[in-house]
Amino acid sequence: MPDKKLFGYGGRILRVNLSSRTVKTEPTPEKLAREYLGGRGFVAKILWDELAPGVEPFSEGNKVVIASGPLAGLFLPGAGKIEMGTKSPATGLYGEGNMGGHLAGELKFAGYDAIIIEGVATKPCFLLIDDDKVGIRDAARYWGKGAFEAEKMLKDDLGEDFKVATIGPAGENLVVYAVVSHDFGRQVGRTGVGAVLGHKKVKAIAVRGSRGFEVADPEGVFKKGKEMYEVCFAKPGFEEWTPYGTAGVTDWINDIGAFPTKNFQTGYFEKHKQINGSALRERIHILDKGCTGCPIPCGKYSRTTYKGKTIYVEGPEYETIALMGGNLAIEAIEEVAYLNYVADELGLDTISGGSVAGFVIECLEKGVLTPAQVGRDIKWGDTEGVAWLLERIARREGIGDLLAKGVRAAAAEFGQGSERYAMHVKGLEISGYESRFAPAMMLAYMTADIGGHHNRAWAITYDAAVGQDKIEGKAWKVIELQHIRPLFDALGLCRFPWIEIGFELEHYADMFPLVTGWTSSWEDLLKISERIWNLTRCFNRREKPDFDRRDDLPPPRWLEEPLPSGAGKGKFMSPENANKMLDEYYALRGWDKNGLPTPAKLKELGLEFVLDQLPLGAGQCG
Amino acid sequence: MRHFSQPNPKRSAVRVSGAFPAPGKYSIILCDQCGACAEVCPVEAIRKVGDRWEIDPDLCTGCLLCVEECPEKAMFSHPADAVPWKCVLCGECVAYCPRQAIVDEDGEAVWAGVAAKKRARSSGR
Amino acid sequence: MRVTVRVVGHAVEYFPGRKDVYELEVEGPVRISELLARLGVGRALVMAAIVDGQRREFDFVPPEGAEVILMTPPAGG
Repeated sequence: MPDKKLFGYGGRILRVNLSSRTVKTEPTPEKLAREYLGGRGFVAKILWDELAPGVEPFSEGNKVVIASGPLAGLFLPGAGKIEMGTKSPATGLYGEGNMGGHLAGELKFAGYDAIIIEGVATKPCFLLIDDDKVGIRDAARYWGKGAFEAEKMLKDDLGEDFKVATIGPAGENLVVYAVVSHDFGRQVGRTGVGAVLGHKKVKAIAVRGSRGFEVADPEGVFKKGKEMYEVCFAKPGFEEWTPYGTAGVTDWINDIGAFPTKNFQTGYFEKHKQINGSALRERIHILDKGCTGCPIPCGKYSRTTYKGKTIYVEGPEYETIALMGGNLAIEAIEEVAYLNYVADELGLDTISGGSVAGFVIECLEKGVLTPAQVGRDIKWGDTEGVAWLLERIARREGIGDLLAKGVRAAAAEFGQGSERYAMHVKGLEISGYESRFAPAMMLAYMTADIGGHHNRAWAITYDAAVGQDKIEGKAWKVIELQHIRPLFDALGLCRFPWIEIGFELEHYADMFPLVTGWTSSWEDLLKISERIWNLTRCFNRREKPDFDRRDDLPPPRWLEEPLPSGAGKGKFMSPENANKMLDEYYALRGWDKNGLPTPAKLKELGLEFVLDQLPLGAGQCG
Repeated sequence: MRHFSQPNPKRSAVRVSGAFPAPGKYSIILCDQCGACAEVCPVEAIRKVGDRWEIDPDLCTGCLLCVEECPEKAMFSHPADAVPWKCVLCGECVAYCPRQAIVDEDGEAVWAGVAAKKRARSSGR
Repeated sequence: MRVTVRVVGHAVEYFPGRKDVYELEVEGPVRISELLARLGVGRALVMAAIVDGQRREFDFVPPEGAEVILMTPPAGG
């Protein structure tokens, strides 16, 4: 007996077992949709329910969950985001990333809300989803190809109206920061989802959907959607922000001393104007490129020539300008774009890749590594050397084999104090904000569920607003952001219309009932977001039995080294202050002093089932 | 949304096509009301109503010759629908394109990129 | 004289009353930096000031009736 119709949802979950080569569809359970919404919520709940505790990330027992959300694929601003999650091979913890483009909508148009990929294929394959027709197809002719190359081949072979996601050689070779790529420039970037697909020998997922889906009040949705677009068109940021996208923040981040420079040695890069948004727009930009329904496309599609080779890349966006620009002291936007292209075609994360490259260059600089060990000398600003290194990593050649495991593993192997050059939290390389002069941002990095990523709580403007020196009184803001921002990830939405041009959250709250027919308020939805947040915290504790506040601490560089230059010269976060911030954070979250949700908090959020597997609150010290 | 009351780009009368990775641009597939569909329709189900050519669903037999014939590939069909559909100048795309890539030229929706070409062509006719 | 201040970007939430437009009455010419102080907003929060479509330094004095657009930082990535 099928569940009652779910308005706003594709209606089915697709389960693909690569070991048995079977495909099943199940109706999307209403309870799951009501309590977890979709996107990140589905990912977290399904991974909690279905993964055996302690499963190896590169094993038959790990799964990849791909989930769209109830507001994706609709006529409204920012309706284009899909989530993909797994147990991360980089961190051994909850792994998840999101990406824009056009897959989130297409999956629902085909009648699905999520895909669960289980088992391991014996030879390279791709998933073909064409409305009700689903198949596991041979991918021999695509295996080994770059992420863009494979997407182009598949679109030529299947039809341009297929939406395609691919992995590159980095994913095929299990680089723990391999990405899933889509629409020639969008990626699920963090935590190595691409590597888990590579281990499963899934080269690509191709989706075409023509069924459409139903909404509760079609006239209401159309009318509200038009209103939402008109509000966006009238915002000043609609004209002023869009030309630069996220690259536009580069100068400000340098001004406040938060720009990763030379492996986070400092927070200011003298040449930042050569790699900022204006440089991009004036020197390499050819097209603005966006996602389903977006009026403010953040994608900056660019063309440039490096050493006689012309390349096309969507980017560089801010994170890549940070981690493959300032972090490596690359002084020209053309060269950052070239490295962006190299990473994208190989299918590896520009954030982690840039962090690993910065780590290697610093190790060479400080004598922890010799050029003989690396295979060549690489200096700051050495675009050629970095491109060479990324290739070695993607192909697991020479030192690339170890570097493919991330900075934490590499530093553990090299020793000689190189741990202090490994800029990660929980094993995930830190993204684009040097935070020794931004305590709220540092707390955000410390407490993000997947590790050193900023997308859960971009708190750096709060630091600027109330004082970058201030340590206390900031946890509440980080928590507030950690509920709002991931809510977008559960709804299938992009947060940029809100963040970049001030599009009011109330509009999404008004639209939600028109789509789903449910009377949830924005507060109800935020509660669901808090539920998901606590669940992923518990997932981490389940996978790492001694997971506690020690895992929330920032790297040694942030705890011990004063910033040598920039606005934050002299600043660092002492262990004492880091723990003070955590004390405040845990208390506000209703967690115990070890940073674990209490039974009372779990009950409040409908997560009592967690206690069946985790003896929280039973007096253990961690 | 306007004509089919559901979110579904496969049921729209305008399409976007991308040329990637190179040269990196989008093109818009849109009916230019040329009337070729009407000429080929064996049952004369497509008639001029004001500025636009419209399908009469009661006369259409679903043969889809118009889909094959359309020089712009702007006649669309769906396996679940008996009758194909095309642009009927409702104007929503003009109103909501954030880049005004589709403009209203004398009551007709035209992709701005080829507006000049079309003007030249029609004045030569 | 009157100067209109318009705030663009995420940090509007830190401006008084979270408004994105302020009509300020000022006694004669004032610098943009003084307008910021009047609104109680940290200088660190403003990336750029634009008057009449042109980017201006913070010691620039906007003319009577001018609209000063304050670009506050957007989020990255």
